[in-house]
Parts: sequence; C-alpha cells; structure tokens
Amino acid sequence: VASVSVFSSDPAARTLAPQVVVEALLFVAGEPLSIPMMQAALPEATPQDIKRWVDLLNRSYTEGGRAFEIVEVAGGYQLVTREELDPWLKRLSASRQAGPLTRSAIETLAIVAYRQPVSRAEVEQIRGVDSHSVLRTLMARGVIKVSGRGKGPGRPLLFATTRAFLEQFGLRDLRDLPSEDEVEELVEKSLAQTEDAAYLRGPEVR
Amino acid sequence: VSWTVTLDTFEGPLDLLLHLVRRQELDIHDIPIALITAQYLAYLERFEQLNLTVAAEFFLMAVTLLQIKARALLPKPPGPEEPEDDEDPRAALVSQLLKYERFRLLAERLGELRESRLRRHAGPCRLSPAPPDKGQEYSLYELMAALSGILAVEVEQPHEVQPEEGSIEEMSDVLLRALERDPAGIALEDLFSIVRGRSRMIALFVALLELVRSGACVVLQRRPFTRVWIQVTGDEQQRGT
Repeated sequence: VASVSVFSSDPAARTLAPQVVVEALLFVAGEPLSIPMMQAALPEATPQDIKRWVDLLNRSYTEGGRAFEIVEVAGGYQLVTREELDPWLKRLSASRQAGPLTRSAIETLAIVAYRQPVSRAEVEQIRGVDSHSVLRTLMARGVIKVSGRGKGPGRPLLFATTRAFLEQFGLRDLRDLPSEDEVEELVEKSLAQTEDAAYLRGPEVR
Repeated sequence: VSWTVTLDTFEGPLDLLLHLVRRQELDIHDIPIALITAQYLAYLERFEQLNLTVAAEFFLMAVTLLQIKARALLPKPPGPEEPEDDEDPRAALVSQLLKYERFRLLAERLGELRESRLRRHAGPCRLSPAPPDKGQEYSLYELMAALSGILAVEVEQPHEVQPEEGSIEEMSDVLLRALERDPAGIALEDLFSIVRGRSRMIALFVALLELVRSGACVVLQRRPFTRVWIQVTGDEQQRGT
C-alpha cells in the first residue's frame, strides 16, 4: 500500500506494509493497546493512520477467512480470535477464561455500571437485599472500585466500574453499555405512571 | 443440633415476588395483594422448613405486603392527608419491582456481552486442559425442590443404629485386601463402595492417606481431570506399617 518512512531505520523492513507492524504489536501485546501505546512503536504514525491500518487488517482477516479480528475495547485495540472458534480454543486452554459471575454479582455490577458513582445503600435499595459481600467480591475481581465518597450522611463510599470491567465485557467505554431504553421496552408494560424516577437516580452514565 | 445453610447467591424478596408474578402471568400493575402475600408467606415457611436462613429483608417485605393489604382495607382517615395516601398503596412496591426488573434485564444483557467477549480469545494462553463442563445452572427454587425430594427420600429410609465401627487400622486392612484382589487398582470414585456408613468412609479415606504416606500404595492420575487410581506399590516395596 505505501512505503512508510517509519521503517527507514531498518532496511529489511522497508518492504513491509505498515499495518503488518500494527498486527505484530497487537499480537505480542495480547491485551488491548491504546493508540498512544502503538505510537510509541510507530512514532511517525498519526492516530488516523493507525485506525486505517486496523481497518485494513480487519478487512484482510474477513476477506482471507482468517482466525482473527481486531476489536476496540477499553480505549484500545485488541487482537482476538473470532467468536466461532471458541469451541476449539476452549478445549486447548481455560486459562484465559475468567470465572463465572453469579447472578447476584452481575445484577449488582449492572447497577454500579449504570448508576455510577453509586453507594452501597443505593444498590441495596434497588436490589432489596444486603449487597455488602457481593460488592466486595466484585472489587476483589477488579471490575469495580471505590471512586470516592458521597455527600450524604456518613459520607458513604461510592463505587464505579474499572477498566477491567470494560475489557471483560468487550466495551469501548461506558457509552458502549447497552442502552437502558432498549431494555425499557422489554420491561413489562410501561413504567411511565409508576416510575418515581428521582429518588434513586444518581448521575447518568450517558 | 440445627444446621444452617446460607446461600449468598440468594436473590432476595423482589426476585421472589417477580417469580410469583411471572409464574402466574399476573399484571404487574394490578397485583392481587392477598393472593401474592399468601404465596409469599408460604415460601418463607418453606425456607424455614428447609432450615434455610431467611434474611431479614424477606420479613421486611412480608410486613410491607401485609401493610399494603391493611391500608387497602381500611377506610381513609378523615382530615388532612399526606399526599401519598391518594395513591394506590401498591404503587411504591410496583415501582420498586419494575426498577429491579429493569436492572435484572440489563444484567442479563451484560452477561451476554461478557459471554460473547469470553468467546473471543486473546493470546497468549497457558496450556492447561479445560475444566469439566460447569453444567447447568439452577435457580434457588429448583434447588429447593431438589432438596425437598432428597429429604423426603431420607425420611423413608429406616434409621440404622450401628455401633461405632471402622477404625483406621481396620480400614487399611480392608483397603489393602481390596487392592490385592485388584492389582490394576481401584478408581477413587469406586473406593467408597467398599464400605458402608459415613464414619467408616471417613476412616477408609484416612487409611488411604496413611497408606500413601507410608508408601504402601500410590495414587495416580494420568492427566488432570481424568480418573484417580489407587494402586498397591510394586511387590519389591514393603507393604505399609
């Protein structure tokens, strides 16, 4: 596609297409790489260049029927295998598999994700059960963290989601969460008359 | 002696109410409070019969339900009223249920996202065999039904009063004899069919550990998650103590 000056230091590399470097970086990193991190290796590339190369790679993976795709997650790019390959890869190794989350854990996590920063009391008001231990579990798993203290009485701890949460759920950022409106339609009947919205709502995520 | 089980995956009173509403396809905005209260209390009773610790929140909800019913039955007091008194006494509860339901659905969507994310693997992986299938997930209600079934069977079995038997020495003899009969070895899961009774099973297991320690037998597993075999150590070696 282009001869790129970033390779000028190494004559052997001159024949490589630039996206191949991006591919190599992502392959070696394993975890999501942000554009600035890639720029450390490709100092002359602009963010637009990198996005374009990622697109090129993704297109070549699709067209070539390859095993990979590059996903945008937690503010970076990550080289991953296609979803359909999971049955085979699972047999090889379970080491990358994060353990299962219980229903109460994921419910609590959803409340934190959509209402963050949120206090334990607010979580418990929605769930109707004590949530102390489940919040602790989520913190131990690194998907939520204490993000500060509230203004209310006792200045309660406030919880928010972490970068690891975005990674584990394949989200670019919090705006990437499934929209609440989407789910609203599923909730039986309309909430319009009965929803006393104000008393629980923390700051909106979106 | 009471035996207490605490399930921390317990979903709470809102979950139970929604379960009752859904099961009977009730209109959430017009819940028959008397009916649902009776069913709810019946569940609490069953929890207690099964010795499940019932969290305080469940009793709070029971009180709320009874209060709603009572308010619906009582004539309105004359004089200045609080503004809420004009409302359907169920409104606050319904609103809470709907809010909970919304987050339950959001949680479900998040769970799907996570699953789909976990199906995309990123290198490098440590080579280790996959654990056996996690199997089906069951709801608390299904577990309760299963437990009731087991307990019902238990009651029908005549209770055998047995003298305390099965010393560790006795069990190591039993185990060694069984191993001699079966030079190929005994699979760990078959081991306990040799004896009857819990105390003898425990003694047998301790005996196994003793024999392994003394070098009289070995425990083998060819690959992780495959069967575990117990074998006597080769004849050249001494048999235990």
